[in-house]
Amino acid sequence: MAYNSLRSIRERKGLTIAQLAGKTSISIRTLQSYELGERAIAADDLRKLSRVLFVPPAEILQRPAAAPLPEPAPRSFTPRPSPPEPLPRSIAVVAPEEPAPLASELSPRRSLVSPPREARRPPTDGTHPPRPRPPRPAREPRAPRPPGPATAGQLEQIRNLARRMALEEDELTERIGSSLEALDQRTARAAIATLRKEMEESGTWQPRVGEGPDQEGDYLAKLRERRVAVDVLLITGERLSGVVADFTPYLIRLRDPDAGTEVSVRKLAIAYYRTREPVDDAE
Amino acid sequence: MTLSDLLTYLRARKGGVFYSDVAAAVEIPTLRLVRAERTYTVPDLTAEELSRLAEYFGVPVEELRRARQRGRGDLTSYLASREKAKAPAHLSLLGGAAVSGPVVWRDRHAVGLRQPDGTTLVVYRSSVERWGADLGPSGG
Repeated sequence: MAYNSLRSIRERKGLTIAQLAGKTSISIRTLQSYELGERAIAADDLRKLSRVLFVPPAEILQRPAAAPLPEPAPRSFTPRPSPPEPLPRSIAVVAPEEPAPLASELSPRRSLVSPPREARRPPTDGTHPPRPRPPRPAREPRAPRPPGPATAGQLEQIRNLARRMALEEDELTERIGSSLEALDQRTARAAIATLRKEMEESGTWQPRVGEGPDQEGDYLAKLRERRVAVDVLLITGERLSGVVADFTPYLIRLRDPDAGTEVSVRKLAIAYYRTREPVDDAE
Repeated sequence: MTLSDLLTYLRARKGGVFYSDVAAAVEIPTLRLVRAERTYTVPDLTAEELSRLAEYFGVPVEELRRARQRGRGDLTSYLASREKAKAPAHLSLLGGAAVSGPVVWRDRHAVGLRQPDGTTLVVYRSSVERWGADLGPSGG
């Protein structure tokens, strides 16, 4: 048995096992076996879990203090008081998560024990000689399908790129070699690539930042480490404040140091947040 | 605000309904909805699908069409140009707040703007409604 704190950390972060599986690309079954201590956490998976849960690997591997399988922690924190607001509360405050599926519910077929392969094979004592398989007839190669017309999204993308490059319609036609109506999916894809490359070279467009560093995660980690108080403005106009106690890619948990209460706020509901004072090198 | 961000926001406003709920109600495959929210370019949704989504979320279809005019790359381009020029970025947020300041850092979700008192104001891109020239002469 290899007990660890994975389950308690996951629940503390307000994630279901399915959500954690989605973020780490580790299968639900594997995560369950880790949480139940059925197997030791692989080094690669430990790194992924550490990165996604924002905790050091050692904390995940730590043996739980009391029981090997801790009781489920409360899933959300309801802020009080709750003034009237134009939008439902569920935008800002964590809604009850979907319960993590039980192991027995996940894959019922897996629980059926299939007989060992040897048992299904015909006996090899000469009473059942193996039947020779007839050779499969060779398939004729399929003719490649002609590409369909350009999708609405592709055309919209080309129009947007043209607008950002300040191209008139005739200039655009000249640039991509045909009218928008005549484009098929393949030529539209090529046209988008060409226009993007031109924009990139002209310096007016930058490639997407999706693969870039998680700057906000680093910033929040510093605020959490230093227990910095922040003021938060929600898109509803409501204001919250508190010390950054923890965060996930989707939530920030704020603690009121005086009252000792905590509230989890969905990032989606936040317009902005700021510290009350400059924060040295975190700035 | 881009159509992707608007769809996420509308889903949250409707009580955090799941993709599958929306997909069943508007008869659009779940995967298409997921892609529409996550894409960095313009969501590949037809006019008919936009109408059904507008009806489901109870918003004018014009709002969705307007949001579709912009991709996430537009805001990225704006922020990049302000960062390069070391000039303040001007953003108008959902709920009516307007903020500005030089870009300290930015990533796919948020941007940090330096404030006159030395603090950093962190704005989530999903809350940005308008930016730059759309805000008027001071927008840059």
